[in-house]
Amino acid sequence: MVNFFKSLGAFATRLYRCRAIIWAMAKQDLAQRYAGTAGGILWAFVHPALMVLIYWFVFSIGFKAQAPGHMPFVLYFVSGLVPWLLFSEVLLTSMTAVTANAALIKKTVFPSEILPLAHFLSASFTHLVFIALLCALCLLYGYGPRLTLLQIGYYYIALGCLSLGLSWMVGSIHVFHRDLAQAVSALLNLWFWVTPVVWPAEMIPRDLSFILKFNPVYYIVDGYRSVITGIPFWTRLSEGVMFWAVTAPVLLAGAYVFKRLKPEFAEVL
Amino acid sequence: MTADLAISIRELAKKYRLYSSPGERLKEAFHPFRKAYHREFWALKEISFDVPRGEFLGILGRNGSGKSTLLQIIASVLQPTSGSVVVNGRVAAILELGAGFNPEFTGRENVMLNGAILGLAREQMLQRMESIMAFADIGAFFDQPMKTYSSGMFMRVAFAAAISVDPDILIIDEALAVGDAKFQNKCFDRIASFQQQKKTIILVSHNINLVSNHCSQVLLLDAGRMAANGEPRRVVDEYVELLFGSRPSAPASAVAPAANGKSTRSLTVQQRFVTQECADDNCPARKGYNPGETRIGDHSVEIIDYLVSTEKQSDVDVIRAGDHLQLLLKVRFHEPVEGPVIGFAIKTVDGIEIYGTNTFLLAIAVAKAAAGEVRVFAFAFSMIAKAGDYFVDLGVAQVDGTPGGAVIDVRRSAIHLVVVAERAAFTGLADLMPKFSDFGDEQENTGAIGIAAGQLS
Repeated sequence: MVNFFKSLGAFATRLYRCRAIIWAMAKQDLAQRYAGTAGGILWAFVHPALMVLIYWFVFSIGFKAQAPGHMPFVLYFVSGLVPWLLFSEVLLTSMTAVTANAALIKKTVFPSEILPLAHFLSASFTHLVFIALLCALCLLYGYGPRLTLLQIGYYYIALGCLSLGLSWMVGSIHVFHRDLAQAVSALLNLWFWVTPVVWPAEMIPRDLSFILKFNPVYYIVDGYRSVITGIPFWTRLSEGVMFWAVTAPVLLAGAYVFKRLKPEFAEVL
Repeated sequence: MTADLAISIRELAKKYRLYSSPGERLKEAFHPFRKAYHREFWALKEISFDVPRGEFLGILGRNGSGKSTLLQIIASVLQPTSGSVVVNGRVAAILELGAGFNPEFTGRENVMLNGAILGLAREQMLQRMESIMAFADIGAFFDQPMKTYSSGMFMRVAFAAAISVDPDILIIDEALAVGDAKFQNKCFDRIASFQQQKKTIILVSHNINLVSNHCSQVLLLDAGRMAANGEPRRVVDEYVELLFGSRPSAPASAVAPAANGKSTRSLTVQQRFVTQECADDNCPARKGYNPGETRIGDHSVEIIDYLVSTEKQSDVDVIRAGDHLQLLLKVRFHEPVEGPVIGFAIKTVDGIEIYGTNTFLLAIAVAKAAAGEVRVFAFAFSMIAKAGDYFVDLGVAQVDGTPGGAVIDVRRSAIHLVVVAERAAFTGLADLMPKFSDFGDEQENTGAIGIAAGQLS
């Protein structure tokens, strides 16, 4: 057990020492998406803007759907979608990260454990754009800026821990089991619909709603929504404890599995 | 380990685990009782050697002998299964030039990223950018996406980036076979300056001339084991022997000269060649036979055997530059030929004929051949070519007034000869063996002319 934590400690120190590489890889990942386009980084703004605009049009002009607490539905939906998009993007890009960088891993001394972190950082750029758009949408609907906006930082870090843990796990196993990519993308689809992103959590019967507590993503999705509802995160104590009870083991297990499988990467790739 | 050693390896072994399915590997990694699902393959075994600082180590070996695995372990890309590997200093490994380069990015961006991956700070990289650009020497292309590069330009940037990290130990895996001669030369200049700075270089190459010319220590791997380690010439000889199965040349003085001044041993081989009845086609049994030869002709006359001999030994395919060779041909005439023409030609790997002749061109009349006759012909010549691989064409024709005659049997590229040289004293294909004189001094002048005249006479 001591060894277990010692090796995780070494893992963490290594990540810290590689911060320059993480930063360089994150920038590369971001630049790569728009490499060769004339618009360049502008597309990072255009895509989210267009997406939010479409949802706004569909749910406010078209369907006129109703969200809980008389909140405009588009606000409810977009505030839940923003963290979900970050989560699923990090998971999907990190899963293939090791295999996609086979040349680096086989032919150079490369700290492959940084890849999920780099993907998380690069995806965070789009995420920031989304948060800005969300704030703009709030203002549009008369929800003035609240202090609870700051707690997005907390939920962002919580989301980071969850997605990193899962990313290390799927990313390292994917090297040996390519089927995982298919399974995970199918599971993510399912996960999206069991999480109250599109539908209000109140739709679940009251005596079954405890099930939601086991879904760590729900804690985050609801956390992002508190920007609008103004619920401070410390009032959601039991949910918070539950979230960290799931996420902390996932993070440690992810790091452990990755560390354990990493020496074999160069042989299998 | 003393500070003078750059690399010290003891009892190194590397086992690859082979699985029949990817799932087994996963099951084994997480099996609670560590059940083994794999078959073993030992890529390296019992490897022990030291590389002193400032040494230029060459690693030779056939494909699959474990060279790349060894390099990957020294570069710590792979973990050894057992044994100890101590590496003193920062390692830069060019296991593959441009590994991880993104073709969408410019050369400059890729070089920056490469530097970050190899652990250099941004400022350090910016400082070195000027010299990297100068070394790559691709002009404005440096700021173009690398997908627009020619492969040569790509390699230039990759090599420049790889050596820019200022390593203590530089590992190069057959990366130098790229680029034009000028760039290769530049690479070697840079490597030489590395050596002067007491830095250690490890080079894996199949080019034995490269290895024997540059390396100060050579390691020979065979099937994952150390076959030899030490002085380049000796190890290169062993490598050549391993490759072609030829015995190392016996010293000429060791054998008493026979009647024709050649060794008795080679005489017997040659005598046997001349006298012995042989099968329909004995060429495939000879050293250096190239199964990929092409044969043209009507088979009314067949070249059924050949023999390449040096002054020291017979039936060879590896010779030293400048060796006097004897090429024997055995020809079976199924039909009578009035005026046979016997010829041979020597070509480089690129197909450049460095020499070719035949009895017609040499104005030698070969006696007519009767049906059913088997005759042996010989050409003796000096192989004054540069080191490298050569192919020999053999041919029999009939005099028809043209320089080549009417083809009866031609075996193109029938023999594959390897010429080795201790050091390259010239460039180009043939050694013209020039004599040098300096006419700068009045007194020396007359002397030099004297020498020159003496040699000319």
